[in-house]
Amino acid sequence: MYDFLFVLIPKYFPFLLKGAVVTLQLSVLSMALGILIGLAVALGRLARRPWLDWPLRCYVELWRGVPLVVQLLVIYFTLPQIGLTLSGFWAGVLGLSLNLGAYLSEVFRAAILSLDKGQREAGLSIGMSRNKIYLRVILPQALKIAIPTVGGYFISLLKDSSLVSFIAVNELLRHGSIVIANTFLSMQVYLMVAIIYFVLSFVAARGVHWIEQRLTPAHLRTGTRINASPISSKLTEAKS
Amino acid sequence: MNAEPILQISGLHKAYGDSKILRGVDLTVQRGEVIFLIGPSGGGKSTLLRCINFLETPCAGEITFTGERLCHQDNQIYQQVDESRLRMARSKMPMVFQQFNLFSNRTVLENVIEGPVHVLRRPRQEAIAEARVILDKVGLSARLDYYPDQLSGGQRQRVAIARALAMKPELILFDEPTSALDPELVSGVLDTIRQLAQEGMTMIIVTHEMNFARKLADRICFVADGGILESGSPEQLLATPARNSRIASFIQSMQH
Ligand SMILES: Nc1ncnc2c1ncn2[C@@H]1O[C@H](COP(=O)(O)OP(=O)(O)O)[C@@H](O)[C@H]1O
Ligand SMILES: [Mg+2]
Repeated sequence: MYDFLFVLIPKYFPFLLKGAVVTLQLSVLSMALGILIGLAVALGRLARRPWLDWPLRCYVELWRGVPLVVQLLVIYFTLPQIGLTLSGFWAGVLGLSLNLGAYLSEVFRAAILSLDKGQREAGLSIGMSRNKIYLRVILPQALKIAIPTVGGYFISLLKDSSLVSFIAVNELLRHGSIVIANTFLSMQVYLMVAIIYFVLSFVAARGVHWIEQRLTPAHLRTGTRINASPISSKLTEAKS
Repeated sequence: MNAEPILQISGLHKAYGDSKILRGVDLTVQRGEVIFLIGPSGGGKSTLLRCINFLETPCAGEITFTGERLCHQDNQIYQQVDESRLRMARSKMPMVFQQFNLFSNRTVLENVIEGPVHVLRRPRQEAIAEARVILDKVGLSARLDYYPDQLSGGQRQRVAIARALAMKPELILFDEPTSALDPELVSGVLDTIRQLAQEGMTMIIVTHEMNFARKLADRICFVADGGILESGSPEQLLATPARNSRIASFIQSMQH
């Protein structure tokens, strides 16, 4: 125990943290790209153009049907064959974001479809253009609906990004493996790696919650109550 | 008659696939007229309003609004003006829906200034000042910062009317504005519509509130089987029963 706290941690923790920084970079970049891909694909599929819909649908089905690690290996080893050489890091970002994009497109599509068409028609009936309606009415609400799920994907991504250690990216897990290769202290090192992953996920989960709260109108936030309307106060009266 | 009509519809057809919903509707609305559409459910009242506003694309027919021909038949082929001109026309004949359809991510005030700022491109401060006046008129000046889900149905519908008024419309289309309301909330909305009628607003109103229609209408149109079967002043249409047995039995059924 003394060794773990006062020898191993000071010696190897900074190296592991460096790996954790790469894990974070990978995750944040992939998430940002994945959200853009997911939104574009969702909007493309909702545009009701068959020539656009079926290729996008093939993408979504294919990417959801193949294990992530296989996708990463395919990208890492086949892109150079066609003359595109990406570093492990960027191959990882590409692989993770394409994978996320496929899943998130379905999340966004479902969120958009869950909004009833009434608000769209109201926008049209006062002369708003379809794009304006999307930008100002539909997307803000759909994104709000999607945020908890997207946040969940981000937390998974922090952990799933460990798969890019297969394509030699020096992220957290691979840094752990390097330390173990030199020290043979697998248990202690994996414990440190686990703790770091846990802290990352925990902080991310709090962050997602904070964003959710920020985007919720004040009167609907849990734990706060301002501007209580006649109806909602009637409801709470009835309950209490 | 005086000036040109504000809205002129002739030979309007609408079908969904094989089912013909509107079969040649003719309707002319003069400036300042309040027209009620009544008739059995499924008769095509909503479809007619939605075609006027081009939420649905007609299959055939001609619609002229404030002197501008929005669609017509050219050698049997249906033609309509491009999307941007349609948008301009729509902004001058907004629709009030049964389900209110307020933008739920926006406050009362934001709902009302959305059209003026983002369609009519008015300066935001001016739009806000006008919206305040309108919301005061519909009795909601104390609710500017509320979100739609903090309001009662009647309040929501009055916001929807305010949103329509903020467009400085030539014509407002109402599709059963009180049908989704609890009975005690209906009168507030009807009062608002009555006030607009007194100010000379041109309106086409679909409703099942017969007494309201009887008192306020310049003209009542009985819509069934995809057409206007009969139209006339409330006295002509409602008071003399036996003229059309369909209308008589419809009105009978409304009394219950
Ligand atoms: N989008 C649609 N697709 C197919 N049929 C429709 C559609 N909208 C309305 N209809 C049909 O058109 C008919 C007239 O409907 P509607 O105009 O809503 O009548 P009303 O408003 O008078 O009750 C109904 O039979 C309805 O089922
Ligand atoms: Mg209807």
